[in-house]
Amino acid sequence: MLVLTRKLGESIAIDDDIKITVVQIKGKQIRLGIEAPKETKVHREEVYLAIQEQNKKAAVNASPSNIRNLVSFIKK
Amino acid sequence: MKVNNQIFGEISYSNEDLITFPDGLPGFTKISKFLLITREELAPFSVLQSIERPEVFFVVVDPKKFRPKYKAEIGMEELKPINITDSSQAKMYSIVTVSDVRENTSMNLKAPIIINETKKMGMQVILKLSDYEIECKIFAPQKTVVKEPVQIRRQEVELNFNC
Repeated sequence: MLVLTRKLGESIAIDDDIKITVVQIKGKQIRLGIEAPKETKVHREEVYLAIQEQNKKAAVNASPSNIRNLVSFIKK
Repeated sequence: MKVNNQIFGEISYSNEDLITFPDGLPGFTKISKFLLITREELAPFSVLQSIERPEVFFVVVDPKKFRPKYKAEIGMEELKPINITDSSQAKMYSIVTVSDVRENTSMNLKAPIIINETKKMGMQVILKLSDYEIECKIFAPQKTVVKEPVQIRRQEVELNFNC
């Protein structure tokens, strides 16, 4: 991993079109500003990982017996 | 061409039926071709079947069938990869996590699937602005606003909003 030290207000440039700026430092929290092309996907890592896990769970749980159950659940 | 689905058996399709997910789905980024299978016996649910990995499929549903007030805030720019220029081109689905327990059946409101039906392209969008639940229990009773002090009422409205 590349590790860089930045001060408040300073930035990191990634390629020509991505810029990450330290916007605020407050105790153990750092606010980052991210400027990137709109199609660049930027997510809080834990949210992205949670979506990944949920997708995997959804695929695993989609068994024929569970889906038969689903049809009966909807009729209740 | 044909693909074998665990629920419906062998399904015939032609290439123009396939929906391309340019980036796959989180956790499944290497698969990009899907078939959306809608059958009366499974309504209102549909099945999103992977072509590259026939063992992979998702149960999906229009989230509004269960949460009519659901509103996903997505910028048009975010939908560029699937060539959506107008919201009328977008059809929305939620991935359902099925369970043998009715009450545990959930849908993902935090990351809806958007499909451009004319261009046959799709993507899963992770909502940044709204705090919807990843596991919204679809058969759970929805919170209703009751005549209580203002403080409690506000809390219930928020719960309702997230799922």
